Amino acid sequence: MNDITDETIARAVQKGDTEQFGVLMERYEEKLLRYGKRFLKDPDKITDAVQDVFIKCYQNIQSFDTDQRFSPWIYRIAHNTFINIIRENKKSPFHLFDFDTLVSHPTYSDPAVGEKEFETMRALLEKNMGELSPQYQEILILYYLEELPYKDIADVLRIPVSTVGVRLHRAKEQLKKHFILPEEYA
Amino acid sequence: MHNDSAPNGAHTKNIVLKKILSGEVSMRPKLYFTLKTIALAATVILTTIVSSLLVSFIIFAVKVSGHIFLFGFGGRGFFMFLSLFPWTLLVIEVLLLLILDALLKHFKFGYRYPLLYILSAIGVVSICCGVGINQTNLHPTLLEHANEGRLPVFGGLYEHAFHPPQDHGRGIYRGTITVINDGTFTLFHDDVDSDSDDGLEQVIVPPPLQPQFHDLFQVNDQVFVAGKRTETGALEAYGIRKLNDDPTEVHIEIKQPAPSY
Repeated sequence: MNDITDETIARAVQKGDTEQFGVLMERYEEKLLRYGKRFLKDPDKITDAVQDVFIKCYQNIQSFDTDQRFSPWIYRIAHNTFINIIRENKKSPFHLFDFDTLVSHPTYSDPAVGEKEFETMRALLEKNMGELSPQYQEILILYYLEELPYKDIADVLRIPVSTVGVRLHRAKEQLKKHFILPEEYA
Repeated sequence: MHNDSAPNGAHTKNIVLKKILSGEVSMRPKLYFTLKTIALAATVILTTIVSSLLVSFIIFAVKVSGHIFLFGFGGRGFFMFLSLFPWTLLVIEVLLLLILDALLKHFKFGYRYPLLYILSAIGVVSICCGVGINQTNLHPTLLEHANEGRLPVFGGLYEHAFHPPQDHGRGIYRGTITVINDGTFTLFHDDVDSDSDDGLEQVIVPPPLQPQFHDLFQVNDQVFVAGKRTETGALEAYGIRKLNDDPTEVHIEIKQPAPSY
Protein backbone atom coordinates (compact mmCIF):
# COMPACT_ATOMS: atom_id res chain seq x y z
CA MET A 1 0.00 0.00 0.00
CA ASN A 2 2.91 2.31 0.74
CA ASP A 3 3.93 2.20 -2.93
CA ILE A 4 0.68 3.75 -4.02
CA THR A 5 0.90 7.50 -4.37
CA ASP A 6 -1.33 9.91 -2.48
CA GLU A 7 -2.70 11.11 -5.79
CA THR A 8 -3.77 7.59 -6.81
CA ILE A 9 -5.51 7.11 -3.48
CA ALA A 10 -7.20 10.50 -3.82
CA ARG A 11 -8.43 9.47 -7.28
CA ALA A 12 -9.93 6.31 -5.76
CA VAL A 13 -11.68 8.38 -3.07
CA GLN A 14 -13.04 10.70 -5.77
CA LYS A 15 -14.50 7.64 -7.46
CA GLY A 16 -16.29 6.64 -4.25
CA ASP A 17 -13.84 4.36 -2.43
CA THR A 18 -14.36 5.97 0.96
CA GLU A 19 -12.25 3.42 2.84
CA GLN A 20 -9.18 4.62 0.93
CA PHE A 21 -9.61 7.97 2.62
CA GLY A 22 -8.54 6.23 5.82
CA VAL A 23 -5.16 5.53 4.22
CA LEU A 24 -4.69 9.22 3.43
CA MET A 25 -5.58 10.07 7.02
CA GLU A 26 -3.04 7.58 8.33
CA ARG A 27 -0.36 9.10 6.13
CA TYR A 28 -1.03 12.70 7.07
CA GLU A 29 -2.32 12.70 10.64
CA GLU A 30 1.04 12.82 12.36
CA LYS A 31 2.37 15.45 9.96
CA LEU A 32 -0.69 17.65 10.42
CA LEU A 33 -0.60 17.32 14.19
CA ARG A 34 3.02 18.49 14.10
CA TYR A 35 2.11 21.29 11.69
CA GLY A 36 -0.80 22.27 13.96
CA LYS A 37 1.52 22.65 16.96
CA ARG A 38 3.07 25.61 15.16
CA PHE A 39 -0.33 27.39 15.21
CA LEU A 40 -2.07 26.16 18.36
CA LYS A 41 -0.89 25.34 21.84
CA ASP A 42 -3.78 23.28 23.25
CA PRO A 43 -3.32 19.59 22.19
CA ASP A 44 -7.10 18.99 22.21
CA LYS A 45 -7.64 21.95 19.91
CA ILE A 46 -4.94 20.66 17.59
CA THR A 47 -6.59 17.23 17.39
CA ASP A 48 -10.01 18.79 16.76
CA ALA A 49 -8.49 21.04 14.10
CA VAL A 50 -6.85 18.10 12.34
CA GLN A 51 -10.22 16.31 12.34
CA ASP A 52 -11.65 19.42 10.73
CA VAL A 53 -8.89 19.39 8.13
CA PHE A 54 -9.69 15.78 7.18
CA ILE A 55 -13.41 16.52 6.99
CA LYS A 56 -12.82 19.55 4.74
CA CYS A 57 -10.40 17.48 2.71
CA TYR A 58 -13.06 14.82 2.14
CA GLN A 59 -15.81 17.34 1.39
CA ASN A 60 -13.65 19.13 -1.19
CA ILE A 61 -11.70 16.23 -2.65
CA GLN A 62 -13.48 16.55 -5.99
CA SER A 63 -11.74 19.91 -6.42
CA PHE A 64 -8.34 18.23 -6.16
CA ASP A 65 -6.57 17.86 -9.49
CA THR A 66 -4.98 14.41 -9.35
CA ASP A 67 -2.36 15.52 -11.87
CA GLN A 68 -0.99 17.80 -9.14
CA ARG A 69 0.70 16.80 -5.87
CA PHE A 70 -1.60 15.99 -2.97
CA SER A 71 0.56 17.21 -0.09
CA PRO A 72 0.49 20.97 -0.90
CA TRP A 73 -3.26 20.69 -1.35
CA ILE A 74 -3.92 19.18 2.08
CA TYR A 75 -1.37 21.48 3.73
CA ARG A 76 -3.20 24.45 2.20
CA ILE A 77 -6.46 23.26 3.80
CA ALA A 78 -4.62 22.75 7.10
CA HIS A 79 -3.01 26.20 6.89
CA ASN A 80 -6.41 27.86 6.32
CA THR A 81 -8.09 25.86 9.07
CA PHE A 82 -5.46 26.73 11.66
CA ILE A 83 -5.36 30.39 10.65
CA ASN A 84 -9.17 30.60 10.89
CA ILE A 85 -9.10 29.15 14.41
CA ILE A 86 -6.51 31.69 15.46
CA ARG A 87 -8.52 34.52 13.91
CA GLU A 88 -11.67 33.34 15.66
CA ASN A 89 -9.75 33.54 18.92
CA LYS A 90 -8.52 37.00 17.89
CA LYS A 91 -5.00 36.16 18.88
CA SER A 92 -3.62 36.16 15.39
CA PRO A 93 0.12 36.69 15.26
CA PHE A 94 -0.13 36.88 11.46
CA HIS A 95 0.14 39.98 9.41
CA LEU A 96 -2.70 40.50 6.97
CA PHE A 97 -0.30 41.89 4.41
CA ASP A 98 3.13 40.59 3.64
CA PHE A 99 5.42 43.15 2.04
CA ASP A 100 7.69 40.34 0.83
CA THR A 101 5.02 39.40 -1.71
CA LEU A 102 5.05 42.90 -3.27
CA VAL A 103 8.02 42.57 -5.57
CA SER A 104 10.29 39.90 -6.94
CA HIS A 105 13.35 38.96 -4.93
CA PRO A 106 16.70 37.61 -5.96
CA THR A 107 16.30 33.88 -6.10
CA TYR A 108 17.86 32.11 -3.17
CA SER A 109 18.55 28.84 -4.84
CA ASP A 110 17.10 25.65 -3.49
CA PRO A 111 20.46 23.99 -2.85
CA ALA A 112 20.87 20.30 -2.69
CA VAL A 113 20.72 20.32 1.06
CA GLY A 114 22.45 17.36 2.60
CA GLU A 115 20.75 14.97 4.96
CA LYS A 116 23.13 16.11 7.70
CA GLU A 117 21.87 19.68 7.46
CA PHE A 118 18.30 18.50 7.47
CA GLU A 119 18.88 16.49 10.59
CA THR A 120 20.65 19.38 12.34
CA MET A 121 17.90 21.81 11.40
CA ARG A 122 15.16 19.37 12.36
CA ALA A 123 16.70 18.86 15.78
CA LEU A 124 17.08 22.60 16.31
CA LEU A 125 13.52 23.28 15.20
CA GLU A 126 11.93 20.54 17.27
CA LYS A 127 13.63 21.85 20.42
CA ASN A 128 13.54 25.59 19.89
CA MET A 129 10.55 26.34 17.71
CA GLY A 130 9.12 28.84 20.17
CA GLU A 131 12.09 31.15 19.77
CA LEU A 132 11.13 32.04 16.21
CA SER A 133 8.38 34.30 14.94
CA PRO A 134 5.31 32.33 13.68
CA GLN A 135 5.85 33.39 10.07
CA TYR A 136 9.34 31.90 10.06
CA GLN A 137 8.38 28.83 12.08
CA GLU A 138 5.88 27.82 9.43
CA ILE A 139 8.25 28.06 6.49
CA LEU A 140 10.98 26.17 8.34
CA ILE A 141 8.52 23.43 9.27
CA LEU A 142 7.31 23.11 5.71
CA TYR A 143 10.84 23.00 4.35
CA TYR A 144 12.81 21.03 6.94
CA LEU A 145 10.19 18.94 8.71
CA GLU A 146 7.67 18.36 5.96
CA GLU A 147 10.37 18.47 3.28
CA LEU A 148 8.23 20.31 0.77
CA PRO A 149 10.05 21.90 -2.19
CA TYR A 150 9.85 25.69 -2.76
CA LYS A 151 7.12 25.31 -5.36
CA ASP A 152 4.86 23.34 -3.02
CA ILE A 153 5.50 25.74 -0.14
CA ALA A 154 4.49 28.58 -2.49
CA ASP A 155 1.22 26.73 -3.17
CA VAL A 156 0.54 26.11 0.53
CA LEU A 157 1.19 29.71 1.57
CA ARG A 158 -0.03 31.23 -1.71
CA ILE A 159 3.03 33.38 -2.13
CA PRO A 160 5.49 33.74 -5.02
CA VAL A 161 8.28 31.15 -5.16
CA SER A 162 10.88 33.91 -4.82
CA THR A 163 9.21 34.99 -1.57
CA VAL A 164 9.60 31.45 -0.24
CA GLY A 165 13.34 31.75 -0.87
CA VAL A 166 13.69 35.12 0.81
CA ARG A 167 11.53 34.13 3.77
CA LEU A 168 13.44 30.92 4.31
CA HIS A 169 16.68 32.86 4.14
CA ARG A 170 15.38 35.30 6.78
CA ALA A 171 14.14 32.43 8.94
CA LYS A 172 17.64 30.98 8.94
CA GLU A 173 19.02 34.43 9.77
CA GLN A 174 16.67 34.62 12.74
CA LEU A 175 17.66 31.14 13.77
CA LYS A 176 21.29 32.26 13.68
CA LYS A 177 20.47 34.94 16.24
CA HIS A 178 19.40 32.28 18.70
CA PHE A 179 21.80 29.49 17.90
CA ILE A 180 25.24 29.19 16.47
CA LEU A 181 24.79 27.25 13.28
CA PRO A 182 27.61 25.63 11.36
CA GLU A 183 28.57 28.12 8.63
CA GLU A 184 27.44 25.94 5.74
CA TYR A 185 23.86 25.90 7.10
CA ALA A 186 23.55 29.64 7.66
CA MET B 1 -15.13 22.66 15.66
CA HIS B 2 -15.66 19.03 16.46
CA ASN B 3 -15.75 17.99 20.04
CA ASP B 4 -14.90 14.36 19.53
CA SER B 5 -11.33 14.85 20.59
CA ALA B 6 -9.16 11.91 19.73
CA PRO B 7 -6.40 10.67 21.96
CA ASN B 8 -4.61 8.99 19.09
CA GLY B 9 -4.40 8.68 15.33
CA ALA B 10 -6.59 5.61 14.97
CA HIS B 11 -9.31 7.33 16.95
CA THR B 12 -9.25 10.40 14.69
CA LYS B 13 -9.40 8.24 11.59
CA ASN B 14 -12.34 6.26 13.01
CA ILE B 15 -14.24 9.38 14.03
CA VAL B 16 -13.90 10.94 10.58
CA LEU B 17 -14.71 7.71 8.73
CA LYS B 18 -17.75 7.19 10.99
CA LYS B 19 -19.02 10.66 10.10
CA ILE B 20 -18.46 9.98 6.41
CA LEU B 21 -20.15 6.56 6.43
CA SER B 22 -23.10 7.82 8.48
CA GLY B 23 -23.68 10.57 5.91
CA GLU B 24 -23.02 13.33 8.42
CA VAL B 25 -20.16 14.46 6.18
CA SER B 26 -20.59 14.24 2.44
CA MET B 27 -18.43 14.89 -0.59
CA ARG B 28 -19.34 17.93 -2.65
CA PRO B 29 -19.96 16.98 -6.28
CA LYS B 30 -17.49 17.96 -9.00
CA LEU B 31 -20.19 20.13 -10.57
CA TYR B 32 -20.16 22.33 -7.45
CA PHE B 33 -16.48 23.14 -8.01
CA THR B 34 -16.92 23.56 -11.75
CA LEU B 35 -19.73 26.07 -11.17
CA LYS B 36 -17.67 27.80 -8.49
CA THR B 37 -14.75 28.19 -10.91
CA ILE B 38 -17.08 29.47 -13.63
CA ALA B 39 -18.62 31.96 -11.18
CA LEU B 40 -15.17 33.11 -10.13
CA ALA B 41 -14.00 33.50 -13.73
CA ALA B 42 -17.23 35.38 -14.57
CA THR B 43 -16.65 37.71 -11.60
CA VAL B 44 -13.07 38.34 -12.76
CA ILE B 45 -14.28 39.14 -16.29
CA LEU B 46 -17.10 41.35 -14.99
CA THR B 47 -14.77 43.23 -12.65
CA THR B 48 -12.28 43.71 -15.51
CA ILE B 49 -15.06 45.09 -17.72
CA VAL B 50 -16.32 47.46 -15.00
CA SER B 51 -12.73 48.54 -14.28
CA SER B 52 -12.04 49.19 -17.98
CA LEU B 53 -15.32 51.10 -18.37
CA LEU B 54 -14.42 53.23 -15.37
CA VAL B 55 -10.95 53.99 -16.76
CA SER B 56 -12.51 54.92 -20.09
CA PHE B 57 -15.08 57.11 -18.33
CA ILE B 58 -12.36 58.94 -16.38
CA ILE B 59 -10.49 59.65 -19.62
CA PHE B 60 -13.75 60.67 -21.30
CA ALA B 61 -14.71 62.95 -18.38
CA VAL B 62 -11.34 64.73 -18.45
CA LYS B 63 -11.63 65.24 -22.22
CA VAL B 64 -15.30 66.13 -22.50
CA SER B 65 -15.20 68.61 -19.63
CA GLY B 66 -12.30 70.36 -21.38
CA HIS B 67 -10.21 69.99 -18.23
CA ILE B 68 -7.48 68.37 -20.27
CA PHE B 69 -6.80 71.83 -21.78
CA LEU B 70 -5.81 73.06 -18.32
CA PHE B 71 -2.53 71.22 -18.84
CA GLY B 72 -1.59 73.83 -21.41
CA PHE B 73 -2.38 76.76 -19.12
CA GLY B 74 0.85 76.77 -17.11
CA GLY B 75 1.35 75.96 -13.45
CA ARG B 76 -1.97 77.47 -12.39
CA GLY B 77 -3.79 75.38 -14.99
CA PHE B 78 -1.96 72.25 -13.89
CA PHE B 79 -2.97 72.69 -10.24
CA MET B 80 -6.53 73.52 -11.32
CA PHE B 81 -6.52 70.28 -13.34
CA LEU B 82 -5.44 68.34 -10.25
CA SER B 83 -8.09 69.98 -8.10
CA LEU B 84 -10.84 69.19 -10.63
CA PHE B 85 -9.71 65.65 -11.41
CA PRO B 86 -12.36 62.98 -10.59
CA TRP B 87 -10.32 61.50 -7.73
CA THR B 88 -13.32 59.62 -6.29
CA LEU B 89 -13.60 57.64 -9.52
CA LEU B 90 -9.88 56.95 -9.43
CA VAL B 91 -10.14 55.65 -5.84
CA ILE B 92 -13.02 53.38 -6.93
CA GLU B 93 -10.82 52.18 -9.81
CA VAL B 94 -7.96 51.35 -7.43
CA LEU B 95 -10.40 49.43 -5.20
CA LEU B 96 -11.61 47.49 -8.24
CA LEU B 97 -8.01 46.59 -9.11
CA LEU B 98 -7.43 45.37 -5.55
CA ILE B 99 -10.63 43.29 -5.72
CA LEU B 100 -9.43 41.89 -9.04
CA ASP B 101 -6.09 41.02 -7.48
CA ALA B 102 -7.84 39.23 -4.59
CA LEU B 103 -9.98 37.29 -7.07
CA LEU B 104 -6.96 36.30 -9.14
CA LYS B 105 -5.28 34.96 -5.99
CA HIS B 106 -7.66 32.00 -6.30
CA PHE B 107 -5.77 30.99 -9.42
CA LYS B 108 -2.17 29.78 -9.38
CA PHE B 109 -0.84 32.55 -11.59
CA GLY B 110 -2.49 35.06 -9.25
CA TYR B 111 -0.17 34.30 -6.34
CA ARG B 112 2.85 32.84 -8.13
CA TYR B 113 3.85 36.35 -9.24
CA PRO B 114 4.59 39.30 -6.91
CA LEU B 115 1.65 41.50 -6.03
CA LEU B 116 3.12 44.59 -7.69
CA TYR B 117 3.53 42.74 -11.00
CA ILE B 118 -0.03 41.42 -10.91
CA LEU B 119 -1.43 44.85 -9.99
CA SER B 120 0.64 46.50 -12.73
CA ALA B 121 -0.48 43.92 -15.27
CA ILE B 122 -4.19 44.28 -14.49
CA GLY B 123 -3.76 48.07 -14.34
CA VAL B 124 -2.20 48.08 -17.80
CA VAL B 125 -4.96 45.78 -19.13
CA SER B 126 -7.65 48.06 -17.68
CA ILE B 127 -5.99 51.19 -19.09
CA CYS B 128 -5.53 49.62 -22.55
CA CYS B 129 -9.15 48.44 -22.59
CA GLY B 130 -10.25 51.86 -21.31
CA VAL B 131 -8.36 53.66 -24.08
CA GLY B 132 -9.82 51.18 -26.57
CA ILE B 133 -13.36 51.84 -25.34
CA ASN B 134 -12.71 55.56 -25.79
CA GLN B 135 -12.07 54.97 -29.47
CA THR B 136 -15.67 53.83 -29.80
CA ASN B 137 -18.85 55.91 -29.69
CA LEU B 138 -20.02 54.41 -26.41
CA HIS B 139 -19.52 57.37 -24.10
CA PRO B 140 -20.58 60.10 -26.61
CA THR B 141 -23.76 58.14 -27.29
CA LEU B 142 -24.48 57.72 -23.59
CA LEU B 143 -23.76 61.42 -23.04
CA GLU B 144 -26.25 62.27 -25.78
CA HIS B 145 -28.85 60.06 -24.10
CA ALA B 146 -28.06 61.71 -20.76
CA ASN B 147 -28.50 65.21 -22.23
CA GLU B 148 -31.84 64.14 -23.66
CA GLY B 149 -32.86 62.71 -20.27
CA ARG B 150 -32.97 59.17 -21.66
CA LEU B 151 -30.23 57.62 -19.54
CA PRO B 152 -31.41 56.28 -16.20
CA VAL B 153 -29.07 55.78 -13.22
CA PHE B 154 -25.88 57.04 -14.89
CA GLY B 155 -27.43 60.11 -16.56
CA GLY B 156 -26.30 62.44 -13.78
CA LEU B 157 -22.78 61.08 -13.94
CA TYR B 158 -22.52 61.93 -17.64
CA GLU B 159 -24.08 65.37 -17.21
CA HIS B 160 -21.63 66.16 -14.44
CA ALA B 161 -18.75 64.92 -16.59
CA PHE B 162 -19.78 67.22 -19.43
CA HIS B 163 -20.49 70.21 -17.24
CA PRO B 164 -18.82 69.72 -13.88
CA PRO B 165 -20.96 71.70 -11.43
CA GLN B 166 -17.94 73.19 -9.70
CA ASP B 167 -16.43 74.65 -12.89
CA HIS B 168 -18.03 78.11 -12.85
CA GLY B 169 -17.10 78.62 -9.24
CA ARG B 170 -13.48 77.83 -10.14
CA GLY B 171 -13.42 80.20 -13.12
CA ILE B 172 -13.78 77.53 -15.82
CA TYR B 173 -16.17 78.36 -18.69
CA ARG B 174 -16.98 76.95 -22.08
CA GLY B 175 -19.05 78.90 -24.55
CA THR B 176 -19.27 81.17 -27.58
CA ILE B 177 -17.61 84.55 -28.05
CA THR B 178 -20.44 87.03 -28.77
CA VAL B 179 -18.62 90.37 -28.62
CA ILE B 180 -14.94 91.29 -28.80
CA ASN B 181 -13.86 94.63 -27.36
CA ASP B 182 -10.47 96.13 -26.73
CA GLY B 183 -8.87 93.74 -24.24
CA THR B 184 -12.09 92.00 -23.30
CA PHE B 185 -14.68 89.76 -24.82
CA THR B 186 -18.14 88.56 -23.89
CA LEU B 187 -18.68 84.85 -23.57
CA PHE B 188 -22.10 83.23 -23.83
CA HIS B 189 -22.04 79.96 -21.96
CA ASP B 190 -24.74 77.42 -22.57
CA ASP B 191 -24.70 74.12 -20.69
CA VAL B 192 -26.99 72.47 -23.25
CA ASP B 193 -29.20 71.47 -20.36
CA SER B 194 -32.42 72.61 -18.79
CA ASP B 195 -31.16 74.51 -15.75
CA SER B 196 -30.80 78.27 -15.55
CA ASP B 197 -27.08 78.73 -15.11
CA ASP B 198 -26.50 79.75 -18.73
CA GLY B 199 -25.52 83.35 -19.29
CA LEU B 200 -22.98 85.97 -20.31
CA GLU B 201 -19.53 86.39 -18.87
CA GLN B 202 -17.14 89.32 -19.28
CA VAL B 203 -13.62 88.01 -19.86
CA ILE B 204 -10.51 90.16 -19.54
CA VAL B 205 -7.57 89.26 -21.77
CA PRO B 206 -4.24 90.14 -20.09
CA PRO B 207 -2.61 93.10 -21.96
CA PRO B 208 0.58 91.31 -23.15
CA LEU B 209 -1.51 88.70 -24.92
CA GLN B 210 -4.14 90.94 -26.48
CA PRO B 211 -2.48 91.22 -29.95
CA GLN B 212 -2.29 87.43 -30.24
CA PHE B 213 -5.87 87.06 -29.05
CA HIS B 214 -7.20 89.57 -31.58
CA ASP B 215 -5.31 87.80 -34.37
CA LEU B 216 -6.59 84.31 -33.59
CA PHE B 217 -10.06 84.65 -32.11
CA GLN B 218 -13.25 86.06 -33.56
CA VAL B 219 -16.93 86.34 -32.74
CA ASN B 220 -18.81 83.00 -32.78
CA ASP B 221 -15.72 81.00 -31.87
CA GLN B 222 -16.33 78.21 -29.36
CA VAL B 223 -13.82 78.58 -26.57
CA PHE B 224 -12.70 77.05 -23.30
CA VAL B 225 -11.63 79.68 -20.78
CA ALA B 226 -9.93 79.40 -17.42
CA GLY B 227 -9.61 82.56 -15.38
CA LYS B 228 -9.56 84.25 -12.04
CA ARG B 229 -12.46 86.34 -10.79
CA THR B 230 -11.51 90.01 -10.26
CA GLU B 231 -12.95 92.39 -7.70
CA THR B 232 -15.17 93.92 -10.42
CA GLY B 233 -16.72 90.51 -11.08
CA ALA B 234 -15.12 90.03 -14.49
CA LEU B 235 -13.06 86.98 -15.31
CA GLU B 236 -9.36 87.57 -15.97
CA ALA B 237 -8.29 84.72 -18.26
CA TYR B 238 -5.08 82.81 -17.77
CA GLY B 239 -5.91 80.38 -20.54
CA ILE B 240 -8.12 80.32 -23.62
CA ARG B 241 -8.54 77.49 -26.09
CA LYS B 242 -10.54 77.31 -29.25
CA LEU B 243 -12.95 74.36 -29.45
CA ASN B 244 -14.78 72.48 -32.12
CA ASP B 245 -18.20 73.83 -33.13
CA ASP B 246 -20.01 70.91 -31.57
CA PRO B 247 -19.79 71.20 -27.78
CA THR B 248 -20.77 67.54 -27.34
CA GLU B 249 -18.00 66.31 -29.59
CA VAL B 250 -15.59 64.27 -27.51
CA HIS B 251 -12.57 64.56 -29.73
CA ILE B 252 -12.33 68.27 -29.40
CA GLU B 253 -10.00 69.65 -32.00
CA ILE B 254 -8.38 73.00 -32.18
CA LYS B 255 -9.18 74.54 -35.56
CA GLN B 256 -6.07 76.64 -35.68
CA PRO B 257 -2.99 77.06 -33.50
CA ALA B 258 -4.45 77.81 -30.14
CA PRO B 259 -2.78 80.26 -27.85
CA SER B 260 -2.21 79.28 -24.25
CA TYR B 261 -1.67 82.07 -21.85
